Amino acid sequence: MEDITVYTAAQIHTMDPGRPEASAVAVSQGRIVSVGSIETMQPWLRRYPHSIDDRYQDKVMMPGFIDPHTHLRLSGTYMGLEYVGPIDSAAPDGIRKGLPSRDAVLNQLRALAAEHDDPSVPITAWGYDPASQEGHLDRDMLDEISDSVPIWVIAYAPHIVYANTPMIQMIGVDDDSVGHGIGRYPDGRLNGWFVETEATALATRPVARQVYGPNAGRDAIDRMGAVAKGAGVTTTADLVWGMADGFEPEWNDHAAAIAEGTFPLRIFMIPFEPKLVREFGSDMLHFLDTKRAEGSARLNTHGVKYVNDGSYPSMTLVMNEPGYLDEDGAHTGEIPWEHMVERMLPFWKAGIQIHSHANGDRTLDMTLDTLEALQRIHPRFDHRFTVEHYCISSPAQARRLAALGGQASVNIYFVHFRAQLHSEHGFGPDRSEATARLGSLQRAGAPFALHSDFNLVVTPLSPLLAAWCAVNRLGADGETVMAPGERISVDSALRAITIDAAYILNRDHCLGSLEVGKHADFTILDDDPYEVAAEQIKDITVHDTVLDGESTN
Amino acid sequence: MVNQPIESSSNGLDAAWETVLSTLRSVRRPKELDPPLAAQLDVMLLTGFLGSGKTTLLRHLLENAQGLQIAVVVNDVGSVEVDAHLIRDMTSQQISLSNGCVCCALSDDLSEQLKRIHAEPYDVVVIEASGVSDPVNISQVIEGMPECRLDGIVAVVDPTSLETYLNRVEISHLLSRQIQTAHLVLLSKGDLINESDQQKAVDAVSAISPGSRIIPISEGRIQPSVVLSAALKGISLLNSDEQVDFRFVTSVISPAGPWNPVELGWLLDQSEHRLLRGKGWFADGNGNLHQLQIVGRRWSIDEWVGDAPTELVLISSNPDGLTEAEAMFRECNLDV
Repeated sequence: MEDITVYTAAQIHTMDPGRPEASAVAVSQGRIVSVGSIETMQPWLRRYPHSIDDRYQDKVMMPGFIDPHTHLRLSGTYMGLEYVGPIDSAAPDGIRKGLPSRDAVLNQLRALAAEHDDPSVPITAWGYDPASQEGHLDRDMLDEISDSVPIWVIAYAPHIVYANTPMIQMIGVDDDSVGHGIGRYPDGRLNGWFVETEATALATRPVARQVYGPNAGRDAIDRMGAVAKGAGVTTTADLVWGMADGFEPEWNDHAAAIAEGTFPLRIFMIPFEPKLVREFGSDMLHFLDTKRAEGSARLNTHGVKYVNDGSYPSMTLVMNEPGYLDEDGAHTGEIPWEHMVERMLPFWKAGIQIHSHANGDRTLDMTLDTLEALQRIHPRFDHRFTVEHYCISSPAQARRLAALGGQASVNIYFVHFRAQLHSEHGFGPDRSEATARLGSLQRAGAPFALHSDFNLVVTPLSPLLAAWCAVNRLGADGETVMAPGERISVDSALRAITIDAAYILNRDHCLGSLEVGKHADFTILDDDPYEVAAEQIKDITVHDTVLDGESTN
Repeated sequence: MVNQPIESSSNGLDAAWETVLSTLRSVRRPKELDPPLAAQLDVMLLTGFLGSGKTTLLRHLLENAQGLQIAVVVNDVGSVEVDAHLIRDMTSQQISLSNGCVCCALSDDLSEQLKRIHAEPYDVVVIEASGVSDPVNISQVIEGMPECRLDGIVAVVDPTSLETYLNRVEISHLLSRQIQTAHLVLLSKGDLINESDQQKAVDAVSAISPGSRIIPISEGRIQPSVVLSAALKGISLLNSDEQVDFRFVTSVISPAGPWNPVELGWLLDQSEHRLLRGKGWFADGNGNLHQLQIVGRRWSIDEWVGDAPTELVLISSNPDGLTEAEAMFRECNLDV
């Protein structure tokens, strides 16, 4: 045994119901040696050299939060562009306010230019709306902000790019260039507009390599890893591994970020099945075995992911009768349902966990039918078949999911951010109010976790906010309780971002609670979520996270 | 009260971002290795809401290809219902016609599929965009491929449902974007609508996208040369025998040029011409040839290697528009 470090805290919630509270946790070589108090862990401390670290003595300690469904690498590109649109937009640091006017946009760009000192890197922004923000931008306007730093702004409806003089030079056009959509002032001088497909593509080329270039994935991992860490997350899973840039590049970016110490999380890469099948065919299971062997406790792979309907906010999920209020925009995934059992069977038989995306209740029915068929063909216990998102469902479906041994990873944020909106748009009042039925899952005995899907849908990433949504179920008006019987207790909600989220990822033997032998991952809070009023859980600030026994700050 | 800012962001923000991302993604590689113009495959993108009449139009194009070998890429091959007499061979993924055209199912990798079609002797490929997609995403995939040239985006709009759809907050933005992105807008179902309702639809489209080229059609009938520039190959003019409900007027400018390409582009950008299409070649002051193609407000000028007649064919939907455009080309004094 190497040296032991003992962390003390004002309160420790272990999320081990057998030994729920503690005041100290002893750590060695990244693992928990003992949980209790300085007194109870004396048998260890008498035998081995140790030190007491009391930096968290006034804080509240919990197991590191787990968000079991994110897309950090894919979403990082959101960060590369500044948002200057007219309406509120989700950003990694929360909701970013819309800008009401052209002047407000110019001021925002001016502030960015003031902090921006590298003229070889353009300022890139998106979301400008000439209709609601009082007219177009142009070259002279942007030159007034800076005539040395290139400025590139793409409109909200991205049919037009605006550029200042340095950006026009970087794009490589001048007054003698021929091309449709290259805008000019009445005197023939370029006005900095690049309109429609070819011209926007031309204008985008120099920034594409910067914003979404070869290093975009790695940059995204670093940036979004920091965002997740700030929200108290120590473990996550990428639920579409391979989809964007391929399996090896995406894996390697994570591996490099971990090796260089820029990514303070544990991550599990869950392969997107259609891509896996296309790329590896009959070698797919062998490939997964190889990567599992290559993986570590920080970066590994498990399971397989299917996407079988659309999304909740875009109203493209598939619903049972009576369907949508208006036009049905529903769409299914690329694998036809009649092929689903056949597609899942090789993984099911190999003992691989299946993560299957189902937002709508019709899709959930199909998913449960598929799971039932798999069980008939090849019965399995403890398979942890997970329905991802679980937005629209019925109590009967929760009971059927439990009966088939399945579990759910739920996007709870929609209850607050979107459900009231969709009462009038798309889903109607009943299904909107009952979005994300956690109470039903709990009554049915189906395990569940809370996730953000960050940042593919317009919601923030914050496990404490997710827990707040689950406990309070307040609509966007901040008053209406959405389906009161679907609320869950504070303890259940906190389990759903710790030990139960570990269970969803099949890692509850080594993560998710503070127990001897587990990885020493902690989230350090300034207040106690069990003590504050339920409405204030989301306001608790994250002080630090600890990964493998070391502070990430 | 529902939170207003979030309400206004309903799905539009996600869709807009998705499109920005697809633009970034498609232009990651510099497009420096473009093959000569003649080796590029023309791609026409057909957009329009569910039930607008895209499939009917596709069926008409396939059955009246006028010697063109058209490859059509659709979501559902079965839905096109091509005249059974024309079918040479059929699978669930592909229907081959006796006139050399083919209708195939959209594969999960569009750029790979376009490369395969490019390797075959087709004159043009028509891609049916899903009824609920933003055509910019697909057009940027095409823009990023050196093998392909985006010929134009054609939107089919159903005038009988236009007003209803535009009043639905959750779909109006998408429909508006389809109309704004299109180079030509075809108002379908002309046989099901009276004149005043048709005018209302024309006004609604013009309000969303001022200057749109709007062509009313019935039962999907339109000359291929209006929607496909490949059909204008060799200045073959419109087939006047064809039974259509909408008449076009055409004219040939000959000789075309000499014009300065920069000045010509500038002229086309500034002008409010009402041409539906134009195609041909002109010489610059040094005697070098350029190809000019016009689809609605969109134009392209590309250097041309090899011989070609310095002639320009123009198509308009009305005689006045044609006269104005003829005058613009004949009278322009472009420094050469």
